[in-house]
Amino acid sequence: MTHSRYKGLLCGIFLLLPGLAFAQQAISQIIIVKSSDNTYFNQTIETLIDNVDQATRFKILMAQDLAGSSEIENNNNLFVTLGQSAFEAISQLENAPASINAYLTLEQFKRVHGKNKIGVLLDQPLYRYLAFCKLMLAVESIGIIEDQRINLSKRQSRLLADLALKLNQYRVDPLNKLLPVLRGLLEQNDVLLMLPRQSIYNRDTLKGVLLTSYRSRKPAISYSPAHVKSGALASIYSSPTDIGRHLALLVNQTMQQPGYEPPVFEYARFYSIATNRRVARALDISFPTESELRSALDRLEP
Amino acid sequence: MRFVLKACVLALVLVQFSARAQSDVTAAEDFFADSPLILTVSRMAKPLLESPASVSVIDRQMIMASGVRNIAELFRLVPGFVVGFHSGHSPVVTYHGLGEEFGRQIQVLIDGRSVFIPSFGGVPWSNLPLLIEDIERIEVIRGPNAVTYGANAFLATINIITRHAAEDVGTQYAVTASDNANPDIEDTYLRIGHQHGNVDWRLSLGSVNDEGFDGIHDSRRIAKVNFRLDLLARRNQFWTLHLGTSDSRAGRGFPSSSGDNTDIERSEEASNSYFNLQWEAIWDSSTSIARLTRTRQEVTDNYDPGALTLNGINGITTFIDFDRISDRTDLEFIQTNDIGNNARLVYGGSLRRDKVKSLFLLNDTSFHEVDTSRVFSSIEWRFDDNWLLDLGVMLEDSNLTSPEYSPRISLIRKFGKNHALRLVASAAKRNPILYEHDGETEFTADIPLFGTVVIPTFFGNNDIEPEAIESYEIGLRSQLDAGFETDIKLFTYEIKNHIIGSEIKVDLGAPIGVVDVDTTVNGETTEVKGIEVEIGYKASAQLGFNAGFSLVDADSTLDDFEDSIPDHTAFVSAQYRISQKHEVSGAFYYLDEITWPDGSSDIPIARRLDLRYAYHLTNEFNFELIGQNLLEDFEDYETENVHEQVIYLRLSGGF
Repeated sequence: MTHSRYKGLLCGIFLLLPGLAFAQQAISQIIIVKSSDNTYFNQTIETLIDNVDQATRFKILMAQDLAGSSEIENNNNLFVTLGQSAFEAISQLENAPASINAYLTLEQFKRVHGKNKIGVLLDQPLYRYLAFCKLMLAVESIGIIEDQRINLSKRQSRLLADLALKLNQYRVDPLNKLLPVLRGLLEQNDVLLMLPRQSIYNRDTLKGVLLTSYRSRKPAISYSPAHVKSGALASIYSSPTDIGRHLALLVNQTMQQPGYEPPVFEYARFYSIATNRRVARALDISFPTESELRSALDRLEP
Repeated sequence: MRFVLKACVLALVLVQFSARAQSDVTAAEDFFADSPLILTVSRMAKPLLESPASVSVIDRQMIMASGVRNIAELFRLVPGFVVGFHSGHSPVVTYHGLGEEFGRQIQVLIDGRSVFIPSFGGVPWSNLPLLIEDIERIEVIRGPNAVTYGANAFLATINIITRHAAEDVGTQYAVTASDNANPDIEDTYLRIGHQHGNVDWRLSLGSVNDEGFDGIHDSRRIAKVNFRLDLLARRNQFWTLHLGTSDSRAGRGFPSSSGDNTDIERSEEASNSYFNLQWEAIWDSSTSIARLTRTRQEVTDNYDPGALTLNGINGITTFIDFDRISDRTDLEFIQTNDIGNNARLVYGGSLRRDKVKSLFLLNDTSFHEVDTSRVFSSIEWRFDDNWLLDLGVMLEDSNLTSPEYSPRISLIRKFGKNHALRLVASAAKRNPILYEHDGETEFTADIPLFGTVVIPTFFGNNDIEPEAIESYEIGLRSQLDAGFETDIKLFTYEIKNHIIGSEIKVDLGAPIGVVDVDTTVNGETTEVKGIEVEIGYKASAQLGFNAGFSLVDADSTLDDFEDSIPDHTAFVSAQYRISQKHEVSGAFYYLDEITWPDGSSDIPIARRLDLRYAYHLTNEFNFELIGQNLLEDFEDYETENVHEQVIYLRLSGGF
């Protein structure tokens, strides 16, 4: 893998799979594979079913039941996996059935990706995170923490210039521990933008990150709505319903256009916004309403 | 010191053997599963624009930029605050005036725990089991605040907040030293922080050593240990445990050549320890906090002063025993409820038991106890987008006083996002301490050719009543764009019924005759009015500036009180991060003429300049060069206490 998260995938994975049609044959049934039974997967499934052709047949499996299921032999099935375990389960199958795989971050998708797999990412495209920060807080500089350097595309660089934004990257590694790096970031930037990086933001580090950010009187904008409940100022994310709508679009396209060649992965197409008013009040921050933010963001979408 | 070393070894062993909890949370759960509340209402400072009192904040950046070694010295960065050194190891902090070595008019809390010493009163600033490096911020409420913190939150309240243990994962060290010139500084600090799943802990160890003022017997050797553990029990419930202790040896007294025959040169040993266990639960529209705290001080200070002269009789011998134990236990509950979108109710109560054992103070070898119970409530009502009304009252009852109440009302008018005008009226009481009420100090003296005689020097007054204050202020706080912030406060307050010292004549018969014995009485009135201005400017992440001054007019029926309130105090501080590696900061402090109530000297104007240069080589290594008192030498508290120029180095870092 190259050092670039985004360009690396485009240059590497895409080139390995030139012109491969995703599902060559007509789809007869959608098999939904869940990693676990929870409300957000069920909400996504409900939205997916509501938004595809009424005649489509669905079957729902748990990830642990997939290997023993007779459905894996049928090449006319299209699999939709929800979550990491389901994605890993289907990736281990020898016949590599076509699957659309949701509830994954780019990091996770890259680790397991194989033939006939489309990723519907939890990540928002970087330009959306950046535009959200700018529109919400009118900041001038945004700090992000990475475990490896990311190179910005020309479009992202142009967007930064258009928004009069400066994006500063900080790296954590065994020598540069998270909290000292974060303190430096907060000294030099107006806002912390938390991107989905499990090695950086996880249950062990979240407390330190949010408390340090708050103590510095600098807001944290996170990829996760759960972090907003914990104390981040805001999040732009895809809700279970948003993910269901996105999956329905891809399923419909695959079913209606045999030979359809989708991209290897797609960033979230639909998004929601969560804010923490208590944190905003404590930091004395006011921001536009959600509808104002949404319409401004939509205007910036490419 | 042996205990410090043992604790250090234990912490390193814990770190060595603990495996860092690995995250097994999948991405989907990270996005959508229930997540713990980390920033809770109780941890969030209220926006200063909406504060129902005058609040100044000393944040971490100001603390570091100040370069000071003593926590007490930080309060020079608060308008109206006066800091003096009764001796090198006995700083005194007061608001406007009336300060004494064992001052009783300021409430000081560390993470919600009162550190007031119930025997003599006052705050043992040097010996607090708290290291300046562990402080996150200090909130100072200028003005009475008994409605929230009870008696002793009389002139002002200081609320010291330490960092959450999750913010201190890793190891941090600092070593501070001057050259061998006075005051011969040698300080050390080591902090170890770690995380085990839902548990975060931090162990801090440190020592503070210096020789105090030149020519004064006031050196100090202090070792401190502090432990904090934060536990997330459920997603909305938190436990915090603080434990700490300090052991000190401090020089006291004067050489016999000074003519003071009883306060001879000696070493006082003191141990200050505490625990603070707090439970906090966050519900949808309410927060509950329960806190159990205990603070204990044991002082060992006994000696044979040698032959004395009293009322013309030579060769009197006695043994002076100032040993004392003070113990304060507090159980407190605070509930905060949101009432709709526009109102919030805070209520709660506490039970406190103070225990004091001291032959010197109480002429008794058993513990004397004072129980205090409190209930309080306040409501904040945002009755319009721009108006905020805050009403509160505290009811307090103790063994030493009748039930009493302390009310406060504040009305805030916001003008847009950036300005708020506040009108505040409040009243508070300052309860007598046990010594003022029940004190009984006697010395047993052997008189040549006569035998043993008991000589009393102090009697408490069982009829003593609390001091009372009524305060009114108008304040305008502005938070302008570009990082500029101001607070202007016009105030007036009146203190009635001061608890003051008095003398009564006691006839001890032959051969001593009549002696003066101290006691306490109520009396005198002090009126104070003035203006205070606070300015903060954060031009960028690199450049910050703070300034403040107070202009005070005091009028008291007792000259000692009036003279203890300086007309002007001021400070200016600034810090500039030149580059990633280089940083400079400095502060200038001005204190007008003052005579401390328990001092004997008229102290002239003091001007102090401190400068600091910091070189940040890496996270593991920082270097600071700090110079204090860089202008002329100045006197402090007493003429003999002279602050001279001092230069010291600090090496610090983390890994």
